Amino acid sequence: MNEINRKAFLKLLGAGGASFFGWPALPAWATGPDDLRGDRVGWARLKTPSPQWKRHAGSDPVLMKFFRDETTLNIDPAWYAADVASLQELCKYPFLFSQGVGMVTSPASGNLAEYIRRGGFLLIDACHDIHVTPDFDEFLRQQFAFFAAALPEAQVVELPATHEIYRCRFQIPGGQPPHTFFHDIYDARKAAHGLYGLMIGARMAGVISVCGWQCGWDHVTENPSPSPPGTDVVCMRMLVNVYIYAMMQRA
Amino acid sequence: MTHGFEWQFGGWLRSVAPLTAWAILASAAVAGLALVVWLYRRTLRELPSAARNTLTVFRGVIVLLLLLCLANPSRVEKTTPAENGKKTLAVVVDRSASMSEPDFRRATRLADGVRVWKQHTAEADAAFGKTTCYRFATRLTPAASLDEAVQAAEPGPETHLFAALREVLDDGPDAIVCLTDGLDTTGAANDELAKEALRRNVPLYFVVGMNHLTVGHGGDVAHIREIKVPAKVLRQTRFSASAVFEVAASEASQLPAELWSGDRKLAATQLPIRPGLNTLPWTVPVNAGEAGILPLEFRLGSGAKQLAAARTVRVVNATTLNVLYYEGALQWGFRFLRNALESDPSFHLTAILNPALGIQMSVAPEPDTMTDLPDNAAGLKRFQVVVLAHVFANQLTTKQQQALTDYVRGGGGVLFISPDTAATRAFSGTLLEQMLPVVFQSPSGAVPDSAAAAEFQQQMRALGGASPGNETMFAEQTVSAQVIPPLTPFAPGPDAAEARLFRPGPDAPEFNTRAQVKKVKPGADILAVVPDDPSAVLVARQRFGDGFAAALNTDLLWRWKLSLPSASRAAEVFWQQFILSLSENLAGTGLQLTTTMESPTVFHTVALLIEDAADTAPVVETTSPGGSMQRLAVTRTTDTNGPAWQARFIPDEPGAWRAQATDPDGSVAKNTILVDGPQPNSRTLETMNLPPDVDGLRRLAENTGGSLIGDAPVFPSARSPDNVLPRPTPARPLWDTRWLAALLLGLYAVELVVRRMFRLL
Repeated sequence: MNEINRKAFLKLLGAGGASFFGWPALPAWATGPDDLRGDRVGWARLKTPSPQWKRHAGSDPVLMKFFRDETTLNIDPAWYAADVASLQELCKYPFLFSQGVGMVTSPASGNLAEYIRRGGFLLIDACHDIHVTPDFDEFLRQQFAFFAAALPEAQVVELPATHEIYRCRFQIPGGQPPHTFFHDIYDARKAAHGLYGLMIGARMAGVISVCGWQCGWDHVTENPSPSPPGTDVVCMRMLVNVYIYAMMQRA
Repeated sequence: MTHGFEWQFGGWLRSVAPLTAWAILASAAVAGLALVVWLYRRTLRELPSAARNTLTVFRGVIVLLLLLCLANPSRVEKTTPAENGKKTLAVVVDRSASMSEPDFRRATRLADGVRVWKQHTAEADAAFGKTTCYRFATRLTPAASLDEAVQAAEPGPETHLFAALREVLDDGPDAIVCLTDGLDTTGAANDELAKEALRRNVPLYFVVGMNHLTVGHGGDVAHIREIKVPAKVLRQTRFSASAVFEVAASEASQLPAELWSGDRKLAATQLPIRPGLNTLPWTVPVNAGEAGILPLEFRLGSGAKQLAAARTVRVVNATTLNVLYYEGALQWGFRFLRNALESDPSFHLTAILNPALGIQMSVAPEPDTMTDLPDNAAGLKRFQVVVLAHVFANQLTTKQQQALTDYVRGGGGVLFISPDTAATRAFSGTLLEQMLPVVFQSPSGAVPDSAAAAEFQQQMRALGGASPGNETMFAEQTVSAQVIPPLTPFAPGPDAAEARLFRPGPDAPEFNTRAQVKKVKPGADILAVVPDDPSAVLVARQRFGDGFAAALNTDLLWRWKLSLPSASRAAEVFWQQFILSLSENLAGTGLQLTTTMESPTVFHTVALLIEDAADTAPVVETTSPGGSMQRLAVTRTTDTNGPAWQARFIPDEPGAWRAQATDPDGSVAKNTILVDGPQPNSRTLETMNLPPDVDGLRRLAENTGGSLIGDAPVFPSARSPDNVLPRPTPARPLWDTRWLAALLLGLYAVELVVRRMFRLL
């Protein structure tokens, strides 16, 4: 059962009282996010030949709850799997989350390219576990090579710190995306990477990151070495920014 | 009439005797108070006596107020029949010209009505103690007696029948008798009069004056009141051309109407004519064709008396369409709609996100200073279409809704998009709903099965997925097995040309989710429905004032767009054409030519008004029935709101005169002016010898509890027990007020706060 805090309760009470006094419309602050939802949409992970494709997926509902708490997005509470081998499956979701597409080969790579050409958006975020992503630079090279081959009209560019993606919903300090680190041991090479945009003309069709946000909202950063408090929230905020930025630009 | 106050118990208490009901409520009050006192003496924490007493009083007052509501106090309007000596009868005499027009025996409708009414004056005197008299044509005037009402003053040029009777009602008579032929020449409807008479419980009686006037032939008296066509349309699009005809006829018949473009007949119909005054709208879908000037001419009737009125439409290759998009909740549809519109330079999109969403980014190529919907229609004037995507009733203020309504009435287009039944229900009864072509489901009604099921599923998923550590095997399997439902195609609706956008085919749109609406308003065009349920409307559109309002009860079709091959432009074409269909008035209504006189007569000046013309003077010419052409001098006029020109001419022969105005840019407007012979006022509605509207008067009388008065007695005698008519006693619940509810809520809130203070919560 959803809990309601005292502040929310008093807001609701005030809003109810206001409506009795004939105010034509409730003030926006009196309306809970659950009353204002857009079209229903599912959160899907890209199912690739990689055995790691659903790593941390068990905690995706945590992210879904964050979405529903912080935005008016009508996102399903659970996660879905979208198999890269089926274009029809991919096209059920406007936004796909992936651990990496380096292992995707033809003809599945054609499916992914066609999905992006149709207007879909792809977010690639590497897991920070060195057993999954031993070399972040190499990981990026693989992703760039994939898109150069599968989507030759696209370009990968590093996003500047002033980019709207860092402030469209939550302010990301300094325009620096949050990183999580394996065993909370700082890695300067990893932290030096910002976000990379997959651009088709002026349109951003995807984002490539080595930040390990999924490790953040899955709380793996707290075991065995605790990361700074609030890392999970910071990661989810950055992801919400990416998601909303993708929604608001033209396909 | 007196007003009283009484207790009307609600629910099952209504069926028991008042004493018993009071006893039950008193018992409940005592029990409730005792329970409150007992509960507050046994709180979890020890309370100071002052706090305990305060809380007890709060809770006790709430209990008593609730019981008060159950007792259902109501204000009842009791009508105590007045004594005959105090009852008043109003006799109203129609003194318009049609009542005084003599037939071949020199008999008038007024004389006939007076003759019939005088047969009933004795019974009226017996039933009513007092009679007041009035006369009216354009204005209501009291008269000292029936004779004065009949004889004083000259007959008036118009009949303001319903307005006069409405005014008489304000004097508070117990019944009204009106001597008339029922021809209200103002074109007003009698609905408001009937409602007001019913509300005041005043029956209307009519004495219909008859004579043997020689009536004209059907269709003889007619004119084309107005033509509506857009000034400018895009090439290869479809638009609507409409005309309103007014025909006064003596008998039922049919009248041919045609629409021509040059020497090509585009459409023809036979308009059904009923006896009396007919107002007949006719709308024709027209293909714009290639760029250029498209002449359109409506013709009414046939032969020598055929009327014609024409306008031109400018067909252009491209124009700029300004679209305002307002988003109430985050959704993916905007991304694809934006793509569709921005892929065509003809569209200029301005997007506003609901400020409550907290999104801080520019969502259009050119930033706009507008941050929210404006409070007045002037702020929307620069847009041809406003898209309201998934807005919520509590996001739009009354002023914003009024601004949208005024905007559409003035020629704008609004597209309301929502796939959410719960969200649309909140718009039920709002200003916005009044404008839209659909009626939303009542907010207090039952939640539809599908919505309830969806909500349940949502909750179940949240239970299973949001706490992965607590997932049971069942929940995990359920979550992994859930699927996204397939898309559903639209099925074209039966009505409008725009339904072609939804015809089945490889490029036909498909939707993901939809909202349920209660019904479509009469007169609205149904463009699309659910394939296996034609009663479930997905897209509807209606003309509202000079503009269009449309409702798309589905999502923004982003899944359909994603399902199409990347090379397909079906989604872009669909959105562009759909938005275009709501924006017929790309640039005003175009050149118009009208005459300001109701009945032009030979050797009298006829004034022509040319509206929406360019800044330079148009060329205005007239052609007489004999074929002689005359160019008229044109002057600026200052008595209209927009730019207008005026021209005058004096017809020297009766018949159909043709007038034509030509703008420097090539736009043309034509009209036919029927000029009568030298006898004055020969063709006004009053003197067209239209038959009395007996059926209309009978319906109006019966709707108010009255009747037509003939030879049979109408009023019951003073001594008859029937004289005491049973009358309804309207009751207004006094407990059903926001103030009482607010008081209850306030008391409850204060109690909760106090309980929290003492850590009882």
